[in-house]
Amino acid sequence: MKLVINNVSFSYKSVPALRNVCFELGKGEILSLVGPNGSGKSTLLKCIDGILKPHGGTIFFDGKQTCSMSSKELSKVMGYVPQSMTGAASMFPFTVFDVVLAGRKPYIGWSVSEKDIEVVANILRFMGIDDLATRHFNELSGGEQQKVMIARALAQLPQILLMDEPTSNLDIKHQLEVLQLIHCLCRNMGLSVVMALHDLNLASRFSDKMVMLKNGSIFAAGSPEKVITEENIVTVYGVRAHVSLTRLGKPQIIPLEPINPQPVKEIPARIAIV
Amino acid sequence: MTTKTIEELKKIYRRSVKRKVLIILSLFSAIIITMLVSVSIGAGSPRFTEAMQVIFSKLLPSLNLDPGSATTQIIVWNLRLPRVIMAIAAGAGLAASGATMQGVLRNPLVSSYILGVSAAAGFGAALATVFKIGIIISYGKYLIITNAFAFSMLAMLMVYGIARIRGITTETVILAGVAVGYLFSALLSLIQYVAPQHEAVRAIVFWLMGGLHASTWEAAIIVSPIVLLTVILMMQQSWNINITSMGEDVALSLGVNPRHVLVITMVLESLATASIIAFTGVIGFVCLISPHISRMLIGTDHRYLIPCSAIMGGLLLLCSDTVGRVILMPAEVPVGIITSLLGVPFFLYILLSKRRRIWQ
Repeated sequence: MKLVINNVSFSYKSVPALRNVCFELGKGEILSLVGPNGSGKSTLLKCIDGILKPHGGTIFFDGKQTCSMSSKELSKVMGYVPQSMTGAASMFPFTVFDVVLAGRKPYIGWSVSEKDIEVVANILRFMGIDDLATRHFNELSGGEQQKVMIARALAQLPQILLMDEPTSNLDIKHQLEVLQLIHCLCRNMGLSVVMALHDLNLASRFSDKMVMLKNGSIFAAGSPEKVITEENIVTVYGVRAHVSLTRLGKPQIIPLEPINPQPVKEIPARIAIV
Repeated sequence: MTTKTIEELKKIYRRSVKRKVLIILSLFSAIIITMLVSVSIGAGSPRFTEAMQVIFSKLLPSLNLDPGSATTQIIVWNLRLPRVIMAIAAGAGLAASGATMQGVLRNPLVSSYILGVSAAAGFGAALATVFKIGIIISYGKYLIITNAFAFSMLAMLMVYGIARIRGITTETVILAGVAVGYLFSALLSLIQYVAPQHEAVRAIVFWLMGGLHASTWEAAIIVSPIVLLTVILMMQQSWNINITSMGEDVALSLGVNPRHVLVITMVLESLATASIIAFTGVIGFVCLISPHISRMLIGTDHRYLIPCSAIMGGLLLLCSDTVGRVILMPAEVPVGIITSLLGVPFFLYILLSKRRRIWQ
C-alpha cells in the first residue's frame, strides 16, 4: 500500500485552505497532521477521503488516482473517523452493533451476510466494546462513542484510516487507550493512519512521520524530532516553548507563553463584576 | 463490565433481528384479522360467516361457494372491502412516508406533510370544488382528485426548487416546506373566504377533514399499487437513511451522498402521500404517530422501521375507520378524529412506559 499526496490544493469559496500539499505514506505508518486551528488539517483529511474534491493536484492510492475511483471503491480502502460526534449524533439512536454494522455498507446491498456479522463481532471484541453491543450510541460517554466510531471505520476493512482529532473530548486515559489501539493496528495488521492531532506531545509520541501545516501549506515535515522544534513552534503557533527529549526518545514540548501576547484590555465599567 | 465472546455477540444480533421480524409478522397477522372482522361489522352488516362466504366465493370461484344474497354481496364486496383495502393502503403509505421523512430530515416532528403537500392538495381540491378549475382535466368526477394530486406534486417541486438554491440540506428542505405549506394554506383560506356558495365551503371543510367513506374499488386499485411500489423503493433506501443520520461526512466516506438520498425520498414520499390524499382528503396524525410507535417497538434501523411503520399505519387507520363506522351507528365519525382519539392514549402509554429515550 502506498498513498501519495501530490500538490493538493483546495479553497472554500475563494478562501484558499490548502496550498500545494505533498507527502507520502507507506504501509503500517502513522502520520500526524499538526498545526493551529484553521491550518487545513481537517480539510486535508476530507480531500484524501474524497469527501471534498481537491481543486488542484492529485492523490494516488497504489498508483491509482483516487478521483478516478468510485466512492464505493474508495470506501473499501479508506475509513474516516470524523471529529467528535456530538453534532452528528443521530436524532434517533442506533445500537452500537448497528452503528458498527453501518461500516459494512460498502460490501452489502440490503441484507447482512454471516461475514458482516462476523467482522463486526470481531471488531467489537478487538476494540474492547463488546459489552456495549446492545447499548444505544447516544447513551455512551465521549470516549466510548469515539471507540465506536473507530470500530465503524474499521468495519470497512480499510487499508488507510483517516482520523480527525481522535482524542478530542477524551480524558488522558482514553486518549492513550485509543492511540495505543491504533498503534497496535498499524504494527500488527499493517494499517496506515493519517490523523489530525492538536496535542503535539501525543503526536510526537505515536507518529512515525509528522506534517506541520501553516495556513494551508506544509511548514515542516518528517520525523517528530525534525518537526517538533522550538523554532517551528514559535513560527507556526506563535508560542515560545521548551522542547526536550523524553525517556522514549521522542521530543516533548512545554508551552511557555505566546509571543506578542494580546494586550490586557481595560474592562468597561458596565461589565465589571465588582 | 462483562466481556462477550464472538459467538455471544453474533447470537445477540441474530436474536434482535429475529425479534424485529417477529413483531412485523405479528402486526401483519393482526392486520389480516382486523380486516376480516372489519368487513363484517357496521350498519346493515351480514354475519361474519356470510361475509367470508362472499369474499371467498369472489376470490376463488372454483370452490362454488354460495355467495349469499345480492344485498350482502353489495355491502361486503362493493362497499366494505374496497374501503378496508383503502384504509390499509392509505395508512401504510402515509406512515411509511412519515418514517422515511423523519429519518432523512432527522426530526421527530416531521410528518409526510412536511413538504407542504397537504395544504397544496387542499388548495387544488378547493379550486376544483368552487371554481371547477382543473389543471390536468377540466371536468368530471376526477376533477378534484387530479387537481389535489397535481398541486401536491407542485408543492414538492417548489420545495425542491427553493432548497436547491441554497443547497439541499435538512434545514432548507424543512423551512422551504413550511413556507410553501403556509403559502398554499393562505390561498386555500382565500378561496374559502371568497367562495360564492356555502355548500362549496362546506364541501371543502369536509374534504380537508379527510375520510374513507368515498372509497371505491377504483380508488383502491389505483392507490394500492402506488403505495406498495413507493414503500418498497423507500425500503431500498433504508441503509442510506441509516447512514445519512450518522452525519454527512460519515455518509460521504461510506459512499452515500446525503443529498441524493434526500431528493429520492422526497419524490417517493410526495408521490405516495399525494396519491393517497387525492382520494381520501387530508388524513393526519397516522403519518406522525405510527413511525414513533414503531420506533419504540423495534428501534431505529430503517430496514425494519419502514415496513413496521407501514403495517402499523395500516392497522391504526383500519381500526380507527372501523370504530368510526360503528361507534355512532348509523352515523359515521370521520377517521381523522378517531385516529387521534385512539392514537394519542396509545402513543402516550408507550412513550411513558419506555425507559429509553427515543430521540435526543
